[in-house]
This record gives sequence, structure tokens and C-alpha cells, in this order.
Amino acid sequence: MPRPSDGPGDRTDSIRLATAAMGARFEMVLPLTGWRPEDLRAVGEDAVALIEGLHRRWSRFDRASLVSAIVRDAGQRVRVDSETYRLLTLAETARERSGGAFAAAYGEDGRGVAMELTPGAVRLPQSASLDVGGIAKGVALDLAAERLQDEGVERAFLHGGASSAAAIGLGPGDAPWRVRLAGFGVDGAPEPDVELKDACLSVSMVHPAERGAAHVIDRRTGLIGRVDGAAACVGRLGGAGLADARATALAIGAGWKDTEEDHEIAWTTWTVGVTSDAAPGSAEPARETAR
Amino acid sequence: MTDQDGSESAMSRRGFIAQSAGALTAVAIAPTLVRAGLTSAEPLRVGIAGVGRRGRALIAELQTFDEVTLVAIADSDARRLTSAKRRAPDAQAFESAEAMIDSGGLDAVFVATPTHLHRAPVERALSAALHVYCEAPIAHTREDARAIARAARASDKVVQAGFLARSNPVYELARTFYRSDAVRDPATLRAQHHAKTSWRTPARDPARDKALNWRLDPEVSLGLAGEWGGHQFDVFHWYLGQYPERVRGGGAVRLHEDGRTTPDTVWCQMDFPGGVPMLWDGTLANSYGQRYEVLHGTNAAIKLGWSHGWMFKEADAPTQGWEVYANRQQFHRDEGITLIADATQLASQGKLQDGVGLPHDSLWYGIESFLRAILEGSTPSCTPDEGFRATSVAIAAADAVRTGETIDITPEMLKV
Repeated sequence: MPRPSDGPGDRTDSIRLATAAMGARFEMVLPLTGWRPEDLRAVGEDAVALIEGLHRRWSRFDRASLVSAIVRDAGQRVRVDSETYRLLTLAETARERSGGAFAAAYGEDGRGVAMELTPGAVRLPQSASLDVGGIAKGVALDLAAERLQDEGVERAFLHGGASSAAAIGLGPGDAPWRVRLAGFGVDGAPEPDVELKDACLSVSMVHPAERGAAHVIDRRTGLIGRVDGAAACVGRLGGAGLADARATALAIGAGWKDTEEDHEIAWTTWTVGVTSDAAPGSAEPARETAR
Repeated sequence: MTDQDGSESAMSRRGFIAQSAGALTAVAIAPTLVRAGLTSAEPLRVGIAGVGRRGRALIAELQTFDEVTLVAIADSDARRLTSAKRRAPDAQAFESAEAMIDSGGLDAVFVATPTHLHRAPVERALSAALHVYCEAPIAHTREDARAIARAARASDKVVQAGFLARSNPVYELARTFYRSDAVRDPATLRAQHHAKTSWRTPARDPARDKALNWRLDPEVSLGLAGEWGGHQFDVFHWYLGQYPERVRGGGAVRLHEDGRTTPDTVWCQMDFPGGVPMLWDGTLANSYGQRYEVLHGTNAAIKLGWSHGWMFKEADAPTQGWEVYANRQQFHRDEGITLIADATQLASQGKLQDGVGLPHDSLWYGIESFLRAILEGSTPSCTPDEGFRATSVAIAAADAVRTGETIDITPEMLKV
């Protein structure tokens, strides 16, 4: 009879868990070092449950989500839980640092708008919409990593949709977790490998097949950003949400105003094929799709 | 027909039909998701006893209510308390529910400790003249459950048991259909709760493991039948206005062979009055179908999936006027009518699809019912007496699974 630790997603040296959330597949690898399999699985399941709970609160396609409630009550003050408040605060930070290229809240013309945040509450401008998809996966990974560390996990790798990742401690062979940046090879050079230890990673790129239905929208214009290339950001663990926003801003050629926090996060960035600064956006209006 | 729920006995089913049949179209309109805002001069000061996974869910939902300030949290596990404190930084942290209650400054307490540890904080909170929301099942023994219900009766404070179907608008709406002639006579009842998970709580050292993994401890746990099934059995109690007369059950460890003796896969069969059978199964080995209840009647079946509900009509069932508005969904070879609150209004606006599903988590509605009872004097969606009876049935189901014997559910077992 199969055992949980011998399931199709497991190896003998690690627990592997996965769930579908936020339009992506989240996976986590938890090396067994010093743990009983059942204990480590329970820790991982707790983190998975956290991600699934955040998905229910943050999905704009779910009528029961808190994000849907905020949009429904646009113009009014809406109380939110602490994790959603953290998400929205980060969204406002990213809007400011990206010069408005990234914005979770936007008006009917697709241009970004500011949210009014007071402790534990948010007010969206009348008729505005809210899409936290650009940073939700990263923030969910930040929170899940915190949850794992709360329970004493010292080694883990988590990713959401293969575009946002968080690495706790070292990986197999006592070496940093190694991630290949697919699509970041330039002029025939090999695609770079990134080594992650207590670090986060976010990649923003648009596959050619997705152009015209892209998720990267320049909120300065409300149009699809000119995304000819891609951007990746690596920083300190806990910065995955911010990394998501930063990578998005860089991928569409927008700038990023570094602050003391950015210096502490110690960003390393890669960009490929980003051709212009402060790109005005394509002439094609943004079409958003459920992802 | 034996009706052991006093709150339901005043109106027979046929009497209900007689009163409501002439206004069936209105039935589709009456239950509303757009509820009037609560009125509160000052936010209620609330505390949460127990901040495990359920307690954390309570924190998240409570933080969305203007009428509430979460001022205190309590848990005997330091790691949990630290984790919860991060989510509720303004709340004062206590190492025990008793210390939290004794510190004063609270209007209400949410008791989300392990089921076998509900009684002490509930009794202490009521002694301190606090309103109490008690997670369900309300206790692991009939003695404790009865003590809680009796303490609630002796108090003038609001006490609500956390059987959430009773506050869920989809379930309220579906119940109006069930209690009308739309479903007709019940033939069979069926429910399941499937989730692929270990049901463990993270705990590395033996002492923490014993305390936190109480669900896997046969000495104190009601197992899947009690902890999960109890909520779903209560749907049938509420809809039928009746309680089962006997229960059989069984279970085994099918997947999680980690030393546990509490089955990870269980089944129960209950006999409701009139010989209506109820079949339920729960498993931690497979997630297909997740969680739902189905009531099969001679005119239609109603399927309830917490945030959604559907009615599947028999071809020979009479057509109702409101059906022209209905939103329909195909399930393989069956077509379900989506049960939507405010359906007529939404249809007139061409927004019927917008009404599918709930705008809040079901826990939110349970909290709202509790707050409304405190602030406006309404009856809580699940009273302590109802909570006791539902818990008593859950205990009987757990006993049936554990012993493999048929357990008779006597009137005495349902008496507070």
C-alpha cells in the first residue's frame, strides 16, 4: 500500500507538495534533513493551506474573494485582513517605485490609480478595478516561507507558476538551490543559472504566443507594455512580492526608484531584449484574460 | 413523523407547503445576500481562544468586520501564538484561554481550541458574562456538550455553535425550496467530504505532537465522522427537521500509515425517521468531489457544495414560474438549476450569472450571524441546543465508526 511519503510527488529524500492557485501551479520541495516525513508533510500542508486560503481571498475571478468585495464596494472603505493589507501596501509601494508602470488598482481607462490605505482598510476609487495578480504569487510565497520557518523548516524551495520562487537555506548536496533562467541566454550564450540561498526570484516575460493577451500591462498608459524581452530579479528571502513588481516594471522598460529597502534586499537583476526606457506601450489596448 | 427539534415542530411540512405554495416565485427572491449593515456604537472587543488553522481563519474573517476589534488571542502553543500575533499585531497574546478571559476587556470570545477542550473556556467565558461563539462539534463527549448547552441556557449572553450550514445563504435558499413542494418527499440523502491531506498539525517534539495532533488521538478525537461529518449531518437535521434514529459505520487507514489508529477513510449509514437512509463517507486519501450534500426527493434533487447549490428536477415534476429566469449548468447528462439568491432581481438586470456563488466565505456568515445576535438581538443561526443535538449525532457516528456496531440514537441522547 502506498504511503504519503512514497506518493508520486515524493522522493525518499524530500517531501513534495503542489496545489493549483492564482492561475498557476505552486510546488514546494522540502528536504527531509532531520525531519520525520509525516511531520514535514504536515508543515508543508499547512503552507499549502495558507496559499489556498490566500487564493480564495485574492482571486478577482471568485465572487467570494475579498478582492471582489473591494471592487464591488469601490468608493467605500473596506476592512481587510492583515495579509491582504500587506499585499495592498506592497502594491502601493510598487506603484510608487515603478513610477506608475506597475499598479494593482486601475481605472476604466486601464491606467493605474492610487488606493487609499488606512490601517486594516482600503478604499478603491469609484469605478476602479483591482488586479493583484502581478504580485500575489510572490506575496503568497513570502507568507508561505514565513509559515515554514515558523515551524522550524531550514531548507525548502517553493515556486508559483515557475515565475516566482523562494528558497530557504541550502538545497541538495548542501549547495544553494540552482535555477536556470530559461530564455535569458543572449547571442547564443548559455542560459544563466542562478544560485539561491535564503533568496527570492521573480521572472517576468511574455511568451510570443501570448502577445496581445498579455498579463504585463503598463499602467502608466493602460496599454500592453512593450515587452520584447524579459527581466528577472533575485533578492533576499521575503521580497518575492516586491520582486514580482520589480521584474514586471523592468520587463516593460520602466524604471525603479531604489530605496533603503531595495538596498537591503540586495537585488540582482537580469534583463533581456528590453529595448526602451519608459516605454509608452503598444498601440493595442490591453486585453486581460483569466489566468 | 418524529420531529425531535422543537424549533421545527411548530410547523409541519405540509403546513409549510400550504403557506408558501402560493408565493413560490417570491421564495426565489426572498433570501438575500445583500444584508443590512450591522449597527454598533462601539466595536465589540473580541478574543480568540485557540489560534491553530481554524483560529487563523477566524482572525482573517474578523478583521473584515467594522463591528469588531480583535483585542486578544490565546494559545498554549508558543509557536502558534507567535504566528498568529504576526497576523493580529494589535491583539494581546495570552498563553491560555483562561488568562485571556480573566484579564477582562472582552465582550465576546470565539472558542477554537481542540474540540475536547471547548468546555472550560466556554463555561469560563459565560461566567465572565461574555458572548460565546463555539466551534463545532461543540464537544467530544455528550457530557461536555450538554454542560455547554446548559451553561448557555443559564446565561443571558449569546451563544452560537459553529455549524455553518445554518448561516450559509445558499443553504438557507435551498432549504426554502426543500421545504416547499419543489423537492417533494425525501428518498435518500448522501454526502461526502474528501480531501487528500494528512490531517496532521506540524509538531516535531512528542509533547507538542500529543497536544496539537489531537485529531489523530482516539482518546479525544471524534475522527472524520465527528469532526467533518457532523457538519454535514446537521444539514440534513436542519432540512428535514428530524434527527436520525440509528447509525452504522466503519473505517480504515487507507493511505496515511504513519502509526495512526484513527481511520483516514470512514463511512456512515444513518436511518432517518420514515426509513430515509443517509450515506456519508469521508477520506483523507482522495480529494475527488471534495465536500457536498445531496437530498434526493421524488420531484427533484438538491446538491449543496457550500458556496454553490443546484436543483436537478425530475422530468415529470411540475414547472414553476420562476424557472424561466433560471441559470442552468450541465453536469455530464444532468442539467442543474443554479440556486441563486436575488435571482429575479439579477435576472431583470441581465446579471444572473453574477449571482452564482457566495460573496463571502461561509465562516464570514457564521460570524455575521453571531454579531447580529449580539447587536440586534436576533436568534443565532445555530443555538446551543441545536449545537448540542448535532454534536450528539456526531458523537454517535464516531462511536459507530470506532466500534463497528449499530448505535441507536435515542431521544435521551438528544435531550439537553
